[in-house]
Amino acid sequence: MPEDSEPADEELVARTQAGDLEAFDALVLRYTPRIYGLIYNMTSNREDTDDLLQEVFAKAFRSIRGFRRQSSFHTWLHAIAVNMTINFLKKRGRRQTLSLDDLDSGVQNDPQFLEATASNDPLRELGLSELQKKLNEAMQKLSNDHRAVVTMFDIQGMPHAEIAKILKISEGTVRSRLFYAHRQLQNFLKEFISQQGA
Amino acid sequence: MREEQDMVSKILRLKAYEQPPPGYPERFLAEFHRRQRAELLRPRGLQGVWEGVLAIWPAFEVPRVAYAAIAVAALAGGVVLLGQPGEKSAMARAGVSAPEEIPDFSLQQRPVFIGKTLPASQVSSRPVASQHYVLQPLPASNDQPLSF
Repeated sequence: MPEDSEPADEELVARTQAGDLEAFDALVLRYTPRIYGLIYNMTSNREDTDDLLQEVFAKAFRSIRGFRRQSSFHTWLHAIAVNMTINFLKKRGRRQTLSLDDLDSGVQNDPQFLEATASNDPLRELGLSELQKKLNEAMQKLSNDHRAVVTMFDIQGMPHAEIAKILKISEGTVRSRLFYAHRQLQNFLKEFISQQGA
Repeated sequence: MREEQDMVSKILRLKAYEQPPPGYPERFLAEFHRRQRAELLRPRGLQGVWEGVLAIWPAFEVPRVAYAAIAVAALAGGVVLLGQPGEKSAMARAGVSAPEEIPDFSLQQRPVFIGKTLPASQVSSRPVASQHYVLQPLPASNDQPLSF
């Protein structure tokens, strides 16, 4: 989200549509980390993420003149990224090589993550990079559609309503996909997840 | 069961902290610009070139119907300039008379492709485009050629 002193997305979009290319550059810089995270968590591969990210912003640039602000720029850009990534994954098939991105040190202060590891011995003993690898492998076992909702909801913190708009499905479908995906992940990670006190 | 699913959500928080290398957005933007410039320089069809121009100057407030008209005009121009090698020229099939700069021709003649492959003696002394269709100067029969 932009800080108070930075122009809002709507202003940057309007300026881009009026021909200000630097305004689009500002949007790229603003959204690169987030869209990178979206694509990376769906592909689990850094090289694929780099290429796809270029294609996403190239398509956004070509299409921005037709952007009618019926949704936010955030939603519109995420829809482009998700659709292009899912199409790419369908063509790619199953990839054998997964790459890991660096972990920001902030994870060690994340309240929810700390709560999970504090109450779970296997997790605490696993180590962050090994857990990261296990999570990537588990995510790749999900279908593309389920991985998309998990990425947007659990990892990027997007609300059900926005995910529904992006994927052009109902909120009920978002919830049911999340429920099913969580059950699958729970099964894939069962050796690391134990009931509290068990 | 619910607790375990909540645990999944909490563990997944780890992935929110996965980051690209430092300085990645700035490097990404530089690469984005480079690819845009490379895309513009890449030879493409006329429609692709037009899209590239419009992508650079989104301020062009051209009605959509104009895009179609311009594309059709560009395509027609491309047909005139490029054409197709073969027994009969596209113009001959369409019954369209040749442009004025093309030398004498007859609809009964077989068109030939004038370009670098023809000997200089057979090339018209008048300046012509590097690729266009001109009918043979001598008729295949003894009949007088039609004149236009």
